[in-house]
Amino acid sequence: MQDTLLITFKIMLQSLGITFIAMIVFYALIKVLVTCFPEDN
Amino acid sequence: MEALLASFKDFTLGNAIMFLIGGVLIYLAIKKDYEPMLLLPIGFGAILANIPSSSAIGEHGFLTILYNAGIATELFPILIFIAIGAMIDFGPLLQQPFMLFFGAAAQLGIFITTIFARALGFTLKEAVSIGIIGAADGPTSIYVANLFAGNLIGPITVAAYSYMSLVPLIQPPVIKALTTPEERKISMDLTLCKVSKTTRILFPIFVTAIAGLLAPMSVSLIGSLMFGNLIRECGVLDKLSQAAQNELSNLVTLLLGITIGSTMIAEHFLTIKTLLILGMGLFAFVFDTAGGVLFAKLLNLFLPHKINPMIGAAGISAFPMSARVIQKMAQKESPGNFILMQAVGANVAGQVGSILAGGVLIYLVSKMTL
Repeated sequence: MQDTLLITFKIMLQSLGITFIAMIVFYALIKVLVTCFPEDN
Repeated sequence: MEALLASFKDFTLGNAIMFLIGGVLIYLAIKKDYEPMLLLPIGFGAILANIPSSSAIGEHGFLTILYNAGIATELFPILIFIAIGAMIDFGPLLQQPFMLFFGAAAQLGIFITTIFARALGFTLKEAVSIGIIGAADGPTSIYVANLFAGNLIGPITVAAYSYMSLVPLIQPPVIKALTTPEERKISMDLTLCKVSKTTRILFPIFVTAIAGLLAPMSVSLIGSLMFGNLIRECGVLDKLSQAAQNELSNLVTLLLGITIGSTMIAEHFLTIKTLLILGMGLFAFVFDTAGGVLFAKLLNLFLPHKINPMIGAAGISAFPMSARVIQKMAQKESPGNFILMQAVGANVAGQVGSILAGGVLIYLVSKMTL
């Protein structure tokens, strides 16, 4: 049981990490888009 | 005469209890206005499914046909995502991209609840399906539960939608327990950058591509949401956008609700597992709220301009209810404190965060159990 809990914990930590990394990427994406396309022609 | 009474003979105490549960859901929908578009069809579906020898379920029953066509294939949740995408205005998020991080932090409940469910003896796939109630996002819960634990889809859906409607009751005590009155009084400067139409159009396309590359299994979820948003933002498909926001959304919600209700058959629903799922669903919402608030407090240790930590709690996906709750609490602490725009930004981020977390979990767990 301890083993499976440890595996679950690792998966959850990975998921949380990937979710945060994706948000950092999206944050950078928005900054780039807003800078590159500030106004419509 | 005997044939006429056959159904009465087969009517069990379990069926009666399910009638009662169906009735309570219908009552909550009509009288309390708790997610009526979902809880009313779910309640009625539960009644239909618990009539002995019901022709609504079984091989040729229309609810079983709907289940096989729309839930088992994941079609209904995907269509709902297109509709939600067409309804979402990412503007407040694009103007305040920093709020994205609260959309990630407020998914903490998913991960803590999954570990808790695993500790209680649920399988990994069941535990993830229960944890995903913390996404505070009905279609994501249905999507993941159907993929990993089809037998639990009824209680998971009921828990997800019930707690979403109870956000105004669940979040305030958790926020108050974790913040001081001074923290809740913090006012925040509103600096909104201008967002061009090009940015609004490119955002859903890039997000789909990036999310797909990071977690390919999330493409159905994120892709359909972003497709709906692209229809909204492109400016040349107004009729399709309106159709997605109204006709598609209403029709699929109707079919989704009654079909989910039909899975709530007494012998499957009236188990200790259902009670545990309902309990853990609440647990997930509490930890979502705590995750967002504590993350904001952590950031405040380093930021020169402090954030009102209540904003973190708006990072859950229950839109726009959570943002409204936060604004109401802020005004109660300090009349004139207006943090609605920031809360809406975090709330929209929560919608992205919940779907992303769901997609990532599907990807990791599928890879693990291959």
